[in-house]
Amino acid sequence: MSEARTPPAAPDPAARPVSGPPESLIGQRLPRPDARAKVTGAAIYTDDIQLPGMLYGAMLRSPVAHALIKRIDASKARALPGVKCVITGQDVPAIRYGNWRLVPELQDETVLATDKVRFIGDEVAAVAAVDKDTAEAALALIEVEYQELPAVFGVDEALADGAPAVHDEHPDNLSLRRDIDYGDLEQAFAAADYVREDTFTTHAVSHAYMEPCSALARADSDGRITLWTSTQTPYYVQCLLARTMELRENDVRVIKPAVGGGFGGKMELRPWDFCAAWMARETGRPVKFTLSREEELATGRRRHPVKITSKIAFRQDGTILGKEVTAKLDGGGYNGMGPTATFLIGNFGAMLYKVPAYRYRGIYVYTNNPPAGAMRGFGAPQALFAGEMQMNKAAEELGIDPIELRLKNAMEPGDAIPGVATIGSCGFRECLEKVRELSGWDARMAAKLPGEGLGIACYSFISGGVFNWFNTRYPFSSAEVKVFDDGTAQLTTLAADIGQGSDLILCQILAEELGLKIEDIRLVTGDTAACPQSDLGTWGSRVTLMAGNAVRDAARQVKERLAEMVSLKFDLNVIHEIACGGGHVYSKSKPSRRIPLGEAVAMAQRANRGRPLKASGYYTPRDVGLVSPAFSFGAQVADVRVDLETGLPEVQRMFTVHDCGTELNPMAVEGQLEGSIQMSLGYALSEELLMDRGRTLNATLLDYKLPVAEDMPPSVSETVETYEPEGPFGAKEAGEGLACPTAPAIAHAVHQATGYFCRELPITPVKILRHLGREI
Amino acid sequence: MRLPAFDYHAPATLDEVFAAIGDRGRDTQLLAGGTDLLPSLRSGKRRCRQVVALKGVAGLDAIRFDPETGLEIGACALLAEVQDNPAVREHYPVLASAIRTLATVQVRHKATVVGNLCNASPCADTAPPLMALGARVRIVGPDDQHELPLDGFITGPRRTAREPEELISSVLVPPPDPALRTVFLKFSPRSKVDISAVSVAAALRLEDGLARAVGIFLGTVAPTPMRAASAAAALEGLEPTSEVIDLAARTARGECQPVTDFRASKEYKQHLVEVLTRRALRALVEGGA
Repeated sequence: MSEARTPPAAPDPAARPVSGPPESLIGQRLPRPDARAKVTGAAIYTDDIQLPGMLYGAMLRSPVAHALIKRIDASKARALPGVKCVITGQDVPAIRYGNWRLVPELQDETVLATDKVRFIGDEVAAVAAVDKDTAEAALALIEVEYQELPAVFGVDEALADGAPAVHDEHPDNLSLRRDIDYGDLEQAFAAADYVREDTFTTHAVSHAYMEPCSALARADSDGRITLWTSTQTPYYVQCLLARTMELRENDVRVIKPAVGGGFGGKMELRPWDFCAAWMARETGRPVKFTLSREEELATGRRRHPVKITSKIAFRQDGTILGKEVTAKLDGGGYNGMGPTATFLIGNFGAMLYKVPAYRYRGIYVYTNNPPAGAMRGFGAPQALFAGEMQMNKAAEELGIDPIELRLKNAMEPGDAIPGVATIGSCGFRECLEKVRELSGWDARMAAKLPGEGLGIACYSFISGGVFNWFNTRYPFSSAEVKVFDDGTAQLTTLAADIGQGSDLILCQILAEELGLKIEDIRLVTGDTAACPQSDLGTWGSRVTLMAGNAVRDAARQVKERLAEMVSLKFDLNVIHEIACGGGHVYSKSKPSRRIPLGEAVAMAQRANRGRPLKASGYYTPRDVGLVSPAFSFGAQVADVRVDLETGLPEVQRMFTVHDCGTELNPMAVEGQLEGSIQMSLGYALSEELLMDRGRTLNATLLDYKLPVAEDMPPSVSETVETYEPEGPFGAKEAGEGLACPTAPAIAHAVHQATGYFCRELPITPVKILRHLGREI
Repeated sequence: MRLPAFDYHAPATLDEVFAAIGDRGRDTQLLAGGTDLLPSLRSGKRRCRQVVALKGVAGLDAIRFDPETGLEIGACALLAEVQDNPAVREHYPVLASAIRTLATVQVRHKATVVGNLCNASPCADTAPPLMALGARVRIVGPDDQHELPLDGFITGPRRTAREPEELISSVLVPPPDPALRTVFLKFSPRSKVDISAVSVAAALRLEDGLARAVGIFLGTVAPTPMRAASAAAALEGLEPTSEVIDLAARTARGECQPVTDFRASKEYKQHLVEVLTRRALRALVEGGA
């Protein structure tokens, strides 16, 4: 059948296995199939979807940082022609929700404020109207009487005696503590030749994803909900929306259309998801919310500002003996993903180097700032800024080259992080050696010029999280593979591509397993009603490893059935290994004994009364510690020139060598690297949410300075070859770790160029000039 | 935020423009590119009852150059059109280079030079170079028209010498002076594509080794783009040695009146004025075009 459709001129793809193994898709530079649609505007995002009779939603937000709500009167808004629904905290169940289902006390938010607002922008009410203008006009008609309370805007202020309590349940504003302890720290410091202690503060930055949050809900006549939403985690949204609406989880269907970036900022149920669904059920009409850029910047989740004090003990030869880290996170008004961040900062404080004795004390502090959340690197950018800056200063004072100091202490395969994990693959030493060569490090360090400098920083990162804070009872990742008698296959998975390119990687993995081409794979994804339960979504650099393993699990089961057909047809000896390649299923030792994959599918189905050939695959980490199944590593050097008159630091070039295991698709890895550099350039130099008593002063992209294409320095990168046994085809993460070394590498280079040692991000010309003695 | 309600007029001739404005000049906003007007109407910074669009008025988008009379940039000529105009590139490169740094490609294909001036922002990037070139604005009213020097036209933040019932039909630049050296420098500490923290335009002729016709204009460091008259006077008629240039740069620093905002502090802007003025004057003396 399939042969009849093949044009006569086309070469037989199966001719190749006869002469040798088919070409592998692993390591191929494959462009993204969705790129064209995104560049030309053809891709469908949530806000592009229009349904008949659709209403437009708008949120009323608190104008004050901390207040009791004494009275809300929405009657004038409800009376405005065109307004179809207005809801306040009194109209909906006051159910607390949050991603930390495992510890319900940590779920501290309601979808709309009930009695109290805790930050400027806290959601107070929602309107659905026939058009956007009417919805916004109605917001102005909702009367809210606030009784303002004293407010707190910094961690030390919030922890001070007598500070006003953001949540009554936490009179000291201390939401939670996370401690890590191993080794004999007192002994380590007593035995040390050199000890230093430094305090660093990092700032709030925005994810600034291109697509603002958007949600569109429809209610069926039986009350079941369908929600299209811009999310990284359709499963979490499904579960938490069901909980807040008092529905069964399966009564909620969440669909994830194309998503324009998330970076950690779209991994929770958000109030507009709920309000769209609730008001759709109330009105019987679809309701859509799309946030403005100003709402995103002024009230959206952001990277946690953290104050980190790090004390480290060395022997004279540079060996690390022990380390003690304390971190205070400014969480803003609610927990969000803060408990995870509090733990991870402690982890990332001792993941790169062998630290025999370690003590970590992390606290999450409530303030009246807009709540922080997960953001690319999630704790690592802050922890590694502090840790790597301190390593560089220690190297200087110990008189040891910073790369040598790192080589002396670098993690190696088989090293254990007590109570957390054992490092599997690890090419960290090779990364350091290679980046030294690539950047011309030794020659540049020997001949320093004023205003110019090289700086180094490193990272290690997780490939997916192990700790089940969502308390799911489903597998962490699931995939269903179906093959068809026309030689194609279908992959169904809830793994969420939010722009990182995981859809292609998962199809690539399946095509590789089945010996098909990318275009032979149809992908069904982003729909909780159509995809197998479950996938935890996109965060923690988990998708390639976890969903990739689930795809392989399913594919292998299908392959076994197909292999049986080849054995039967050719009456093969039981010791024959059967493989898939070039669109065929064949005997590895006698490749001429082969069947087109579609024909093998047809045979298998005929033998089973037509039952479709499909299999489900799963992955849930087991016995791989508490944090992650695999760890990536890397080293980065920044070459920076500082204008000593204006103070302007300009990055001339970035050099990166990293270990992401097998590079499944080098083009995709490069995209991650370039995006990481651009995002971290902003974190280091230009981006900062400027706050004045809880109010965001620069809530426009005119004044919130994202680096643009012209700001991007040239970048040189290499990878080191490792094979990660826990990852699909040896792969591990490449998406987040790279976001961590750039800021400390630039800061180190600025230090080399000017003497200015940054303890408080971002690095600005004014800070540099003040260090140089200018009175400005 | 949503755009407030207003009446919208799209006249095809100047007569129709004035008829639309009528005696409601104070309630009228003129629309050219709209890149400043629409956001400020949305945010409530500007208010009006009616918007009169100039884009349909024939001839207002013209860019005319005549070696005898100079350059005329019509009210609806886009920044990108002026930037790419061959005569502008050849005879007024300082204007092309200033526009090159203004906003983004997309905005430059929507916004106009005259709109940039009439918006009367202290950081209007076309103002300092046009002032350095001695530009004038042509103001047309229902009954007559007159010209004013651009230096002095902008009277305060979002305020100009234009009367409410008038419009600026064009900006006029004198014929090119081959001996006049000009330069524009702009600095932002945050990004290569950014609103200026400080900008400097400078012009001078070198006659027998002496600086003549010195003009120094500063952006973003006063309520309006400003002429640094004392700084120019510190150089006028003198040999531009590095000591003299340093003195002029320090004078500019003393002369500017910046305020602290979240883009940069007052003190940093003063410092930048000195650094940029020195760099601008050095560039002119060392062979600037």
